[in-house]
Amino acid sequence: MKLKKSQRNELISGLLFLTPNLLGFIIFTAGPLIVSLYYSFTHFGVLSSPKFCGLENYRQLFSDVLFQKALINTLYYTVGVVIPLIILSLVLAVVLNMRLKGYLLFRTLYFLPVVTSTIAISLLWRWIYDTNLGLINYILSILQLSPIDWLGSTTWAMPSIILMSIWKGLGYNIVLYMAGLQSVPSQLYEAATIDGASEWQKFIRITIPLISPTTFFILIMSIISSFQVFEQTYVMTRGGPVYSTTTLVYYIYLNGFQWFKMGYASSIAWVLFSIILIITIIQWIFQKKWVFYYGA
Amino acid sequence: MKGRSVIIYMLVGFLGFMMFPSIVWGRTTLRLSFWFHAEDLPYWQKGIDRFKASHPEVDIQIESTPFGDYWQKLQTQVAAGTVPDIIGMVSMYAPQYIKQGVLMNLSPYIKQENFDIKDFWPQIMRSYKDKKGNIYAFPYDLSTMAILGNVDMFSQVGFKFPPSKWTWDDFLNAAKKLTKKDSSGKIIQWGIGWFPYEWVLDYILLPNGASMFNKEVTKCLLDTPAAIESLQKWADLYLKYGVAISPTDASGNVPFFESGKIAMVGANPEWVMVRRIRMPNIKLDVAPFPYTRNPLIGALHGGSFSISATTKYPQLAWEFLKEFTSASTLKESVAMAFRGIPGRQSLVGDFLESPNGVPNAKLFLDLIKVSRVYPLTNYDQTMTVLKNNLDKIYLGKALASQVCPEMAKEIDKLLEPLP
Repeated sequence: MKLKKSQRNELISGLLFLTPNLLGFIIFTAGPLIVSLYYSFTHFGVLSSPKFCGLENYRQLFSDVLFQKALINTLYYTVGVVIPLIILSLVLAVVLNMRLKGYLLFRTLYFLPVVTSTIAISLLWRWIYDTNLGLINYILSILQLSPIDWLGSTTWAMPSIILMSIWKGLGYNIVLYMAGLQSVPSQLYEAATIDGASEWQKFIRITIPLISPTTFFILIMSIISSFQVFEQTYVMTRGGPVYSTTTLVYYIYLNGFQWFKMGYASSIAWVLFSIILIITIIQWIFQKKWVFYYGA
Repeated sequence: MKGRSVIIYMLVGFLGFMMFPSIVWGRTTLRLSFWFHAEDLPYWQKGIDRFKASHPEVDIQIESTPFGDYWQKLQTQVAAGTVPDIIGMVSMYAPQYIKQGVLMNLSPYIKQENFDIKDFWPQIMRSYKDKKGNIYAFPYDLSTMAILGNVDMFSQVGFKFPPSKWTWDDFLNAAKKLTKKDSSGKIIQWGIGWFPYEWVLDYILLPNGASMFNKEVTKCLLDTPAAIESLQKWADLYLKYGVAISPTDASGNVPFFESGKIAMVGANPEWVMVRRIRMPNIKLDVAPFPYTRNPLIGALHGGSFSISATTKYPQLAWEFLKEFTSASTLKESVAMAFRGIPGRQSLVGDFLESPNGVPNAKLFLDLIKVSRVYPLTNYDQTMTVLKNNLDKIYLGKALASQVCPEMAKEIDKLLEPLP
């Protein structure tokens, strides 16, 4: 269908406005994506040219013990962060939504870590976890308990990073939940009160279902970002001790930027992408069972 | 239209001005990449100023990156084709960069000018050569390691430091005396704060008759009984005797040593220099590592400068390299600063007289004669495997006898022929 002159001009204007964004997307996102896919089928030592090797990198992943360890660590981190993060964020959002005295201050305080650099927070928490000078072990000493080598223990290193990540991510999810809570129609609560429902029943039967779209969004975004954890493990533990905090993205970094194996690192990256994609698709399919859109 | 043309001409002119500075100003910029820190940059600056005085048309653009991040940045620059003209290099990484063709072969320039390289320590030059004997870097320093001790803390417990040599038992007894606890049993002062990883590991192995690798660097020797014994002894300093801080402590041994909470750390001359500048009123000195078999033995590493194989100004970079590793520059930047054993043998006297040095500085030089260098082409991955396995031992997760055999096999798979 031939466009009129005015429509053509509008189209051109629209494309011109989109051009900077599109160029940025092509140069910095789409282009590297395609190139990394190609590299994943090569032996690419960064300092030498890529050599095509077919599926060898992907085959190697199956027998790579360290890759398996990194995958398990990443799953451990994801489950450890996402579930408490959702529950704690919801609880705090409900409390803040009661608009008690000082709620604005607390909302700001909870949100401050969100806008602070993860690197800076990781450095700070490294000191909080320090065996000899750290705040946590100081509190333990007051309680007459033995100090714990938080970041030097294979048992405690990952939980330490999980705790820090939950602390950092709370504020963002609290704000989302608060918006969700405020969108629940008050007449539903009034009707429930008239029917004699308790606060707990109102929470379970009204609040939880009606904020399920927010929960769904937080769940998907938290899982995606948890699978991509890197700064915390890089700054606080460098993947140790004994690989106990080596996650998939940290393993990609090791292979790509320390061991000169960019081809193998690319294959790990695409496997990570596939895992995140599959999990997200599964969540999309199952959302019909538990996500309710009021008025739909 | 006229107005628009003027704007376009001005834009083009401005872009041209920005993109071709050498044409517009007649100047060349050489990029120098290194891990300068606040304590040593003033010394290096003198060498840069000397070169600029003899080459007024050249600007030197300094690109400083902390040592830990320097190698990832360099690798990224190699991949992007933006390698600086002059590159800081170390003996541990040089073989892999030589193998990959990142460094310029200096031998043609050496031959052409009959440039005298005899003053450079031959022991370290092995790391900067390929199999054919071509040279790719000039050393600015050599590094051997010793035990750096707070002399006053030793005096307080009635121990004279430094000893000319000491057995493992002497060392352990001193560390025990230097470790103090408060009334609640919490340790407030440690004897030693140093856990060997990477290239310094040989300093606890060699005096015990062990070694990381064989001479040709084709086999990992960490599964020998002597190596297993050394690693377990060192781990027991923390696990059994409680005289060392945790190897994974975020606070680390350096701040504790500087605040007088640790009596001994492992140190090379550069680390001694930094401690002396930061602790000007504290008496420090160095002793050899404790031994059971070899009282004086070590491993050798060092820093150097090389030229990128892709530099647009090879002749200028060569002129800068000669100046930056000349006796006059290294005398100020390295020897008199005590930044390291100077890369030139003729500067040994200046090193020993450095105001940043320690009374027993000669120990670092004596260790050169009994040290060897073993370059690796797969340094980073080997050291990652090493660290994660050593952590099992140092943190008490497993005994050295359980970890070392598998660790040696894993490392053997990573060893590659030298270039």
